[in-house]
Amino acid sequence: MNFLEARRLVATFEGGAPLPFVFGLSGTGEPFELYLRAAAAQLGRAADPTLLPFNTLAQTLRRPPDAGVVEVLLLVPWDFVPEADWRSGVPEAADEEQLRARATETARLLAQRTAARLLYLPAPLPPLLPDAARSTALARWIESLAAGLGARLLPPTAFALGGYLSSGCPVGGHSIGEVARAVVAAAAAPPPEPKKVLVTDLDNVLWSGLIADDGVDGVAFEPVGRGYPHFVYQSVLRRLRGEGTLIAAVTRNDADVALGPFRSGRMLLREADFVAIVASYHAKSAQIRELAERLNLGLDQFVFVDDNPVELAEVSQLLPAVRCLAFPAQDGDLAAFLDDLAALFPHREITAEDRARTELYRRRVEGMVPSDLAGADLTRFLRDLQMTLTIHDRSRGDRTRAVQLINKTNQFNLNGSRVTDEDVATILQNGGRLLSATLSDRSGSHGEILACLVTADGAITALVLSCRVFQRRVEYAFLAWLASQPSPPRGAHWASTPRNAPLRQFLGEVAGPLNGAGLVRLDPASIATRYARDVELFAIREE
Amino acid sequence: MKSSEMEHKLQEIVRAALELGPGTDVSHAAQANVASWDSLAHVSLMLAIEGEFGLVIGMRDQLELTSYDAIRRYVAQHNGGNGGSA
Repeated sequence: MNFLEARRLVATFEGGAPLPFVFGLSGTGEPFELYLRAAAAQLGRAADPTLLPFNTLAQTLRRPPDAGVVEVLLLVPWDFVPEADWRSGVPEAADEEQLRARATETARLLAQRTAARLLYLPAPLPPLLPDAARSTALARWIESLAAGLGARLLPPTAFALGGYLSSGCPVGGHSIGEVARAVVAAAAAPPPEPKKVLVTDLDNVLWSGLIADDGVDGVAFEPVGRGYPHFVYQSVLRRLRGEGTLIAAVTRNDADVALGPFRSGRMLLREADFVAIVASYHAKSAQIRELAERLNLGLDQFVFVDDNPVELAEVSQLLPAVRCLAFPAQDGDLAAFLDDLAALFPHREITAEDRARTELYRRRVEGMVPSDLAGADLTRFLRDLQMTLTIHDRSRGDRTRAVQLINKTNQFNLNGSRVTDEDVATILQNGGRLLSATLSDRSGSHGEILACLVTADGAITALVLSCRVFQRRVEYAFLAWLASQPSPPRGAHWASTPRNAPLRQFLGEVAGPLNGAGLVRLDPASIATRYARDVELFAIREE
Repeated sequence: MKSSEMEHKLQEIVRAALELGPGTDVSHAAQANVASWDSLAHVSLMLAIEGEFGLVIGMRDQLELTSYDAIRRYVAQHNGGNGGSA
């Protein structure tokens, strides 16, 4: 819709039901007015937009919204990170942590405006950070924040720097009609459905620790020490459940393992408080979609809480209607997180039906088996994490952590065998190798997360990976790296255990179908070629 | 687009963006001599020209396109090179 067409539409419009709304953006809103009226006229509505004064969006977000007023906010990256505003120039120095903290704060303010309809224009960032790759990663991260808030993403080509610098209007003339259509569509859409389902991850969210590795006695969920934040979170979930919110859990675990803490009788939340606890190794997006179908509820009524940014990205990429919230890594962020969560499920009068809702819905999901759907392609997201995999040769020197890892990891474990330090010493004395890997990314170090013991005859006898870093393709990259080394391993001593389904899935993919326990042949040349792209996701260092 | 078509369309855009009457001669219009050509109308005019002619007008050009004649030459130059034929 261009200018002259917009003029004609407005001039010939005979009137229709009024469409009042507040239109806010960081910049000049006036040039949109004609196009907003035209776009509304096309829907048979008489647009009555109230434009926020120039550059007052930030202040507006700090005031409570007016009840009953529809707000449509057109967001750009500098609404999250003010230092990124081209019109302010590039700051002399920018602290990335502070930028991210400011963006998180804005996201929190936006999350509290539960009735606002958000549009996000992923305009490019000026070179805020010395490293261009980090600026790109920051831009993608802000985009994922916006997507997590349920913002509709506009094409980046709609941004026009020249016009923005000269007039403050961030959208170019070639796109203003289309952007106005998106604004009007958002204003005219029915109010967002209140959230009805809270889907929570378990490990390091409902409790502190990894149930598959730490066991029921090793995870913490009681009001003491590291269990406190998780206890408080559970208490909020219990209140929400009492008010009629459906609580569900999705976890990459085996069901009997995941249910352990619930059945311990020591946890605040019981199994009966959940409409479903879905434990499987399928993509979490697939688990949530299946749950929505079984419950016959729209995905826009779902909220997903996880501590793992990769899982959050996977769900928000494939299920953009689902509101995604990150469980805070720092205790200091817990209060703001719980505020955001509670704001998504407004208080209302509680009926007997509300109280019984979990039981009613539980019947719908009985026997649910998540469909084996592939997850999202996370290559771009993983690349932006700027992961470094440092491979350590532990054949000499301190190997304590590597041996511990072999002995405490259950899910991604080649055969479940436990080894003593003496066992490892014997293998090494006979010409074997012990390798381990540490992983770091832009958010910091994940520590030593992988260990691999290879015997002198070239067979992997132990291979473990911490489940904290599942879904990052570490295992593929490591094996491809190993396969490209001189004297690569030719086989792996595989055995099924009650808990090592993730390893079974991985080995079946890289080596072909697994038939019982024993030595599984590996083809190094094929592995190195097939998973070369996974190696490219990491900067690999050897120490 | 022929030069005459381009000019006809451009005049229609300028009249509409500056809220001038249908028959107003805009060939000598300039920001200095048209009262309604204020900064906001200028933004609307630039956006309208971008949209109608499929152009992206850079910041410096936006600041310099303050007369009908300058705009006509700019559009002609960036829209098929028919600038001098008016």
